[in-house]
Amino acid sequence: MNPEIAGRQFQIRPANFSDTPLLRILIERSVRLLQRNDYTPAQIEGALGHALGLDTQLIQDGTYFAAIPISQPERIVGCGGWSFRKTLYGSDHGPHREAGLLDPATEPAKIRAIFVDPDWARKGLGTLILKHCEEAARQAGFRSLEMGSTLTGVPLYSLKGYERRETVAIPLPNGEFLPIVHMVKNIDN
Amino acid sequence: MTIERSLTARDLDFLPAADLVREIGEAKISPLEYIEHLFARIERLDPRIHAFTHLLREESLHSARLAAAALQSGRIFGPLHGIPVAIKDNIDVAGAPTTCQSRILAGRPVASHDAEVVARLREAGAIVIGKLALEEFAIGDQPPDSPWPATRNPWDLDRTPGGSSCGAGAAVAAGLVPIAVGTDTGGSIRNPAAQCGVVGLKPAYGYLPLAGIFPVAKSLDHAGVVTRTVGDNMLALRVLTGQPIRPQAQDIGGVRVGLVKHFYTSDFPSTPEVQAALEAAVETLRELGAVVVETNLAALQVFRECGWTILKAEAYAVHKHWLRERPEEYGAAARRLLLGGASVDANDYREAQRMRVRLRANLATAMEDIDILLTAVTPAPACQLNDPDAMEKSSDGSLRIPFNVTGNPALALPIGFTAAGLPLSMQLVGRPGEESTVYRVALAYEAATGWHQRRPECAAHNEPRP
Repeated sequence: MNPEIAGRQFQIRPANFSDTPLLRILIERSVRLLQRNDYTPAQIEGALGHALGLDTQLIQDGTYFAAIPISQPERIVGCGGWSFRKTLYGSDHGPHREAGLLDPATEPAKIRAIFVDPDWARKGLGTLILKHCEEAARQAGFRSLEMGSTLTGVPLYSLKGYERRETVAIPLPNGEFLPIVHMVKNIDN
Repeated sequence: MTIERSLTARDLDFLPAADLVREIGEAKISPLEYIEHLFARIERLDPRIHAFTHLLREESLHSARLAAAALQSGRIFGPLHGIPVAIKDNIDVAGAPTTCQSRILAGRPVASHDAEVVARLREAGAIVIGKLALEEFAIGDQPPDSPWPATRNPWDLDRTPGGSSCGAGAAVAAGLVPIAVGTDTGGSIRNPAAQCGVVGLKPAYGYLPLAGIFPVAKSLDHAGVVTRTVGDNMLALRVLTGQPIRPQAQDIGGVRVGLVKHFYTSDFPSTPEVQAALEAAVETLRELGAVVVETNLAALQVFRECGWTILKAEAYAVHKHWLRERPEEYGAAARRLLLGGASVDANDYREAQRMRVRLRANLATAMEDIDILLTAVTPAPACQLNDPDAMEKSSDGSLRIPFNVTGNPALALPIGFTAAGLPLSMQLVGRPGEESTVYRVALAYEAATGWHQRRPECAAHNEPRP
């Protein structure tokens, strides 16, 4: 769907701490249903709450967003964010957390944790959230973006101008490994 | 349909929009009669206040007739059915000119589309009655040689209403419209709200769409709402966002308030009356159960340097073509401020954006254990329009721009009056996405104090004294 049409159907707003229960449910449901063709059940179980999940630092920073359908304003059906911190992916309990700050002039902002409710998939919502995050990072002075994408996200992000770099296997607490694709995009225009 | 006699015309002058919604829904007030009532007030009062730049009288009356007819057949267009609103004149309203109150835009065709915020209000049933005055391009002033007369503060017509959304503050305070939409890049909603004794909210950055709004500085620009009551402000924001914004509780017991005292005592010292009013407001919040602690942020000068560097650079990029081709058509203040952006080089801008990241991170840390920040909106009450030094200090956005830099929601709320009867205000700042917490504190304070019930003498129902 055209993002402008999608934009009239959804309100995107900064997430707040009272959203966290709904966000956790949404993320878990999204991962279990939308990523099951790309990851095994064991990988998904190991990744939830670790490499995949909610990073409340982004809420505190004001860089995580909730997408709400105008027709059902009590629901959150998508979420995602960007960050001016070094952590590339993962939940509050994820690996390689680095709260250090990025330099907008020389380092890429991170695109973080975009998830869509399976019932609301394929309505342009992922694109809408991504655009919102990209624009926010651009306004903060960043000239490039990077992310650790799930295999499921790669086709969408490729379509939106992100280039694939290396694929990294993230060790999970249950002994499994989760392949994550490092992707980058230049927005210096 | 006629106005039920239990409500007099005098009652209508300052009736909150939330009450109007109910009265219209219950057919106690006709949208048509209410709009006619407002236009009569505008005709009587605005020649002295100059809050409006353009009135949409015929269109409004037509819309009000449609709203009245719909009600008679049992239909409601939306949560603002028949409620009049007015829009700052840097925001597109289809069929009206967008002048930004600058000669630069004179002669341009009327806007063909509504800005997104205007479209959302109309979809909710609101009726746009006119465009509101602003300082040139929301960055300059209202120069004496401008085709538009200077807007005046309803509390004292010789004083500034504050800017840049001066028409919004003045029109709402004078009871000419219950809801106004403005913009805020360095405090342009909160300043006139404070100087005019009304409620002005700038929600979080990016919450309200900016499509159809003439930019000042894109990374700092916010749209927002000016109203007479906190409840009306919340109602308008609900409509504009489509979100069920509601405070988590009616009381504020245990709410943690961070008092940013150094902003208004040492960084940018405010007048004794402003400081005393803030102390009294803090005491009231404590009595209501809030836990107030002093919170230190970065010095105001750091926020100011960062914000102004970004603002000037981004605004210059918008205007550089006109500054080169038609500089004489700007007022002196707008030209001086905009040209200031020419001397901001790429390194300055990059350094300011680096600083902005640090300031955002520092504020996030400072608010880890704080629900809301409290500080001053302005260093002084409204000054005389003919006092250039005081006017320059009045337009200094140092106390407000920190929250454009960080993007947090920020609200100006009346906290009393000076001995001379001029409004005083405090600024409440929420964590990102927590407009509802800001409203929670503001509602409790407003209910406990009732400052919003005072009216400017010039806007009294009876004819003003000559």
